[in-house]
Amino acid sequence: MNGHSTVGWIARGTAVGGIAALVLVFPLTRSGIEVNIFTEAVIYAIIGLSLNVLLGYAGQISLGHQAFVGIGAFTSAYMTSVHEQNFVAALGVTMVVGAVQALLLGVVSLRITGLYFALVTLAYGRMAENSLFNITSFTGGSTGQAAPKPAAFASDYRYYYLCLAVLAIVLFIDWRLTSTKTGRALLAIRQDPRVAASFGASLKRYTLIAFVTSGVFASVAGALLAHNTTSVVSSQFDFRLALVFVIMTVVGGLRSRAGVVVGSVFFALTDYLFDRLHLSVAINAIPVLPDLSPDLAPLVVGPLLLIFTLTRHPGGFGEMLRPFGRWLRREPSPHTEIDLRDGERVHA
Amino acid sequence: MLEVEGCTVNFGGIRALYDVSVAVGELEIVGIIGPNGAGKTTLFDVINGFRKPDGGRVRFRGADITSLPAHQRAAAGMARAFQNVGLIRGATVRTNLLAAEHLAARYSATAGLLGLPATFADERRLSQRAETLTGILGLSGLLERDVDGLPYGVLKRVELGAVLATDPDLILLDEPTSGLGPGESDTFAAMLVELRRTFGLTILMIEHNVPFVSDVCDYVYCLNFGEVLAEGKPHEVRNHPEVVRAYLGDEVDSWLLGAEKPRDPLVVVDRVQVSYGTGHHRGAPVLRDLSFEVLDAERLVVLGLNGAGKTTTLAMLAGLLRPERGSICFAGQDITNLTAAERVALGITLVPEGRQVFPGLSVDHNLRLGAWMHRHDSRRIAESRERVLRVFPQLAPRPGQLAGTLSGGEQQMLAIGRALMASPRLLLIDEASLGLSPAITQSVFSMIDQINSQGVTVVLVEQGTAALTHADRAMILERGQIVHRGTGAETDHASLRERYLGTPA
Repeated sequence: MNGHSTVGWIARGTAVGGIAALVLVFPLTRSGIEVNIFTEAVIYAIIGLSLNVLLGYAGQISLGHQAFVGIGAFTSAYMTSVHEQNFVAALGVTMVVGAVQALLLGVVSLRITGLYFALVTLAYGRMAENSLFNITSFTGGSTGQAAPKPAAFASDYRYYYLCLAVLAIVLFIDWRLTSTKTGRALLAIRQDPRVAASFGASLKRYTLIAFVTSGVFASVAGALLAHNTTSVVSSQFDFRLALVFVIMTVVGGLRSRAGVVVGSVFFALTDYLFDRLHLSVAINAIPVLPDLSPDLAPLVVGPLLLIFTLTRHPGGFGEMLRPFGRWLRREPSPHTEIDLRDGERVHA
Repeated sequence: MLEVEGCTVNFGGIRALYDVSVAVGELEIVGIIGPNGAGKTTLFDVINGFRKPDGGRVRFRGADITSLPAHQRAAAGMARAFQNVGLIRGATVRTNLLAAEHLAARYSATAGLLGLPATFADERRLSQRAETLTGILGLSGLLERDVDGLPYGVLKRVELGAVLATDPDLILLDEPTSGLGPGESDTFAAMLVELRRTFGLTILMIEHNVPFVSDVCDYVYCLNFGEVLAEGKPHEVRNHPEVVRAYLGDEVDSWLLGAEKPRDPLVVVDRVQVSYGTGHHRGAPVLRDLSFEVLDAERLVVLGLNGAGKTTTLAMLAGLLRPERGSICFAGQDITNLTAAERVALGITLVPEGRQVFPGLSVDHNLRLGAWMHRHDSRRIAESRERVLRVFPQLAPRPGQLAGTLSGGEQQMLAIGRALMASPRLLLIDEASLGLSPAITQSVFSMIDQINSQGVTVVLVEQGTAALTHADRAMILERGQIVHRGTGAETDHASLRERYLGTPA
């Protein structure tokens, strides 16, 4: 193992430095419009982590996550432009609204499970699209609601770092969630509710905690999304977006923070990468395929990756990144060991 | 400490518990024994809050807890181990113990999420507590091991660790010795007595291993058909005539027992090993190196206690489980790798434990579904149905009645009738007598005789001796191995009694 050698340290230092440079310095070299796209990718990572709390930890599907995000976006835009509140106060209101709407859906999840609950979330998303997002005074109608950037973060570059900081906070909370009793209670509930109850963990309480946490993350992400583009239009939050959210989280790898972040960023950047790498030209060169509109790209790439993930790599990007993470932390790779039962060699 | 007062539980029309009263005193070890389907696990569900009784009350330390949810009963000091190991699969031993320490955490869930400094300190304390506990149970080296890879005996110990981690006063153990070897259960008995002393525990356990119960328990209840059949000191209960009858059935006159006739083998099972689960999740083998033959047109009775591997043996013959090793031949053909459906086509059908008729479908539809293989041949279906109704005339007058509304005996007849619709050569029947009165059991058995006399080979799994009068040959399974085989006459009441209850007749 090269874990203790100088070469190993240098390699690890280079890797960490490279990632830090890519995340922290690279955007400074690009134009403001491109930085907007990177900011969106950071926000998508927060959305992915929000969905991961539901899908990964609580084991509850949400096909209406565009509504979670949209409600956050409109609440923050409404508070800042119509009520002329400052960004922080608006964010506080947004978090409360996000928590409450998630709590309501959480209460429903205690009564309806599985496929039926998936349908409820689907209906919830559609309902928000068709009713809530059509209230002109709240959403500004078809022209949208203005959402000015906070004064201190008016530049696209500064705003990017603000979003990075929020992502760091969300990652911290997610880490604490998984390493305290809440995460273990959710794990037990997901695996066997009877065992969880015998450990004294209340299914109701912890399922609702998961919903609220997810709702707060999603609404904060929504608020950041609104101010990133300085205006929000209701047509942004349609059902396709919810699908992309679910796909990016699953392809990223449920219950893997790094995987979900990478997966979400990847899907947020598909348009951009398509464009930069001239992939659309390559795809359009295939005669049988119809012209692919760029905003449909995630919905084409997504399902393909999803099928690939589910059949070949159930752990998603997270699983593929695991050896890299272990190498960075200088942990030994999982060794094969003699199983105590019948002497067959199995992976630990 | 714990009082169950006149509890009654109904599942649909079936009475799982009727007016059961059980009392457990401080620091006592109390056992609950009884044949399969007696309602023991249902009683546990009532005690720890998974099921609300339809009548009666549960008191814990004097307080009425009948309608308290399970997680609050855990907080009150009640812990439960499960029949099939209540641990979080796919997590390490450490995570499992930490999860079990849920109630020991001193911080609020919100403080944990926000990562307040005190939560880090408390997490360290919980971790140390888990480490101490593993030290006591001799599991120290295994903290970071995934529970899925651990052998069954170790898993049981980890589960006990998790139970202790909840800091209980009363622990409920559901068949703690199932799957343990004879040596292991002796160590386990010593450990239980030791734990009671060090942790001040009161223990209530369900157990099939009656000798083990006699060793460790202060007091024993025997349940049968959801009622308390007998209670008292262990030696009183296991010699109680009603208890002996519940376990073994009535004494059988030996002249009634069949003698072996020379026959050709229909099924040859050769050194099979079967375990549940796959890959990492594979459990300890349930059947090990098991070899036996089923002769053409015979009635083979397979006896054994719960967990002996009887149902697994049938599932393996029916193709619901694939053996990891060994082979199965049917009528000269190797069927080891055939699916269950392919085996039905060859003429092997299973009547599962607990009948499993389709309760929401009529008698007639249940029968027709049994003939799925011949669904395009309406004449054949009509003939089969006529034949089935000749064997089971009780079913004839009510083709439209919903199967769920039939009595237990009628449901059993319907389940066997449904299997017959596939015109089997080999009929596998799992505990036909389960939950039936002795008289009805005997009439079901004589119907099985009638089927057999038409040339159908029958393998009948049973716990009691009632089926022995209807057996050409019998074998007794214990821990996945055959411990006795012989003609029906050679398998007598006394030897079975010694094996089940540990008492000479």
